[in-house]
Amino acid sequence: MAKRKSKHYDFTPAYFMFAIFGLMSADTTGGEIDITRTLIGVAIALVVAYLVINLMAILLNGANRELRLEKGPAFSKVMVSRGMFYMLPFVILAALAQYVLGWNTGMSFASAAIMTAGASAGMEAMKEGAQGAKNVLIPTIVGTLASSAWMLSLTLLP
Amino acid sequence: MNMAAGVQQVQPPQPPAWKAALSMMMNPGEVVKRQMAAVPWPFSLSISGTAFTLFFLQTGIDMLRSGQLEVSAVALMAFLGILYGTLGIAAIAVLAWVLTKAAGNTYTLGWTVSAFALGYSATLVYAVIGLICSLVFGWKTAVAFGVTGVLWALRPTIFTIRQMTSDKAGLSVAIATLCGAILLFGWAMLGRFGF
Repeated sequence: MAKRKSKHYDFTPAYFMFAIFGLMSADTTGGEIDITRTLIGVAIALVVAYLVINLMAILLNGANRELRLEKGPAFSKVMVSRGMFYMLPFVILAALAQYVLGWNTGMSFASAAIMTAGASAGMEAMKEGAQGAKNVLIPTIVGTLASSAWMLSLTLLP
Repeated sequence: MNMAAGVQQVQPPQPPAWKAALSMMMNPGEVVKRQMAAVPWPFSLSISGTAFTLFFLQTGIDMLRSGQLEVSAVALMAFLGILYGTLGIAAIAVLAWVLTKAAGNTYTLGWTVSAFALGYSATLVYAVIGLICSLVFGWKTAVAFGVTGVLWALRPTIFTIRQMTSDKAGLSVAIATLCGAILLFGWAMLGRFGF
């Protein structure tokens, strides 16, 4: 029997992954930890996570009204939750790049991760019956704008 | 064509390979699902080969400007880019093909190599823009454009692996992470070759 995908959503892993990116974005000194800078970096990351998750869910709902009525109000959040899982390779690779290779490229990985998560959420929606490439393009655009805003906000770090 | 019940169903024409390459940047899932069969693997490998050639060339030019390399070494780095973008990417694709066989992957090796290599379409665009900025404005572009370009390729790689594993999320993420790590460390090792 084919395994049925969960109809529930849990964004805890997604928030955790964003927090790791926040940690990396604050650590630009090769390992020396500045507590204030780290806390602000993680806080910014969690705010971005909240905005990205909810914006993607709202827009997916708006683009698929009939499907939402059929599948229930949690439809888009379930799709976004599944899409966020595909951030995981980027988190692991970013950590390898930063802490093993010594590259300061965490935010580049974060940007690609958010866009991939968005596109994946759109693809999950299409598998459930959503129609049109807009379901992939809209979350991808949200991801692009959010990651750009995130990078700009890092200038606030002390 | 499907001849069932005497009704001819003509398959929609596949877009040309160059259109698939452009679509791979914005909607890789769709390309991987429906268009890859029409993209020959030599074309795809020319995309990834050119992308890494230009990327390694930018690295060499940056190092030439800072006095770390001579012109002959820059040419060598570009050649390494050709090898990495063709043989290297093909090797990673073969590894993914072997690993996904256990998950019931029915795609051919040629399809797999083609899909992996075509994923570097965005990398090629970034590499071209980066090279133009380097030559015209004198910017150091290897890291900024190179890293971003390679990361954009991870997205189609993930979609390709998802397609090969029949959308098994955990296995897809694990294999994509492994392929990405090999790419990063191979790139880092080759970068040190210029020193």
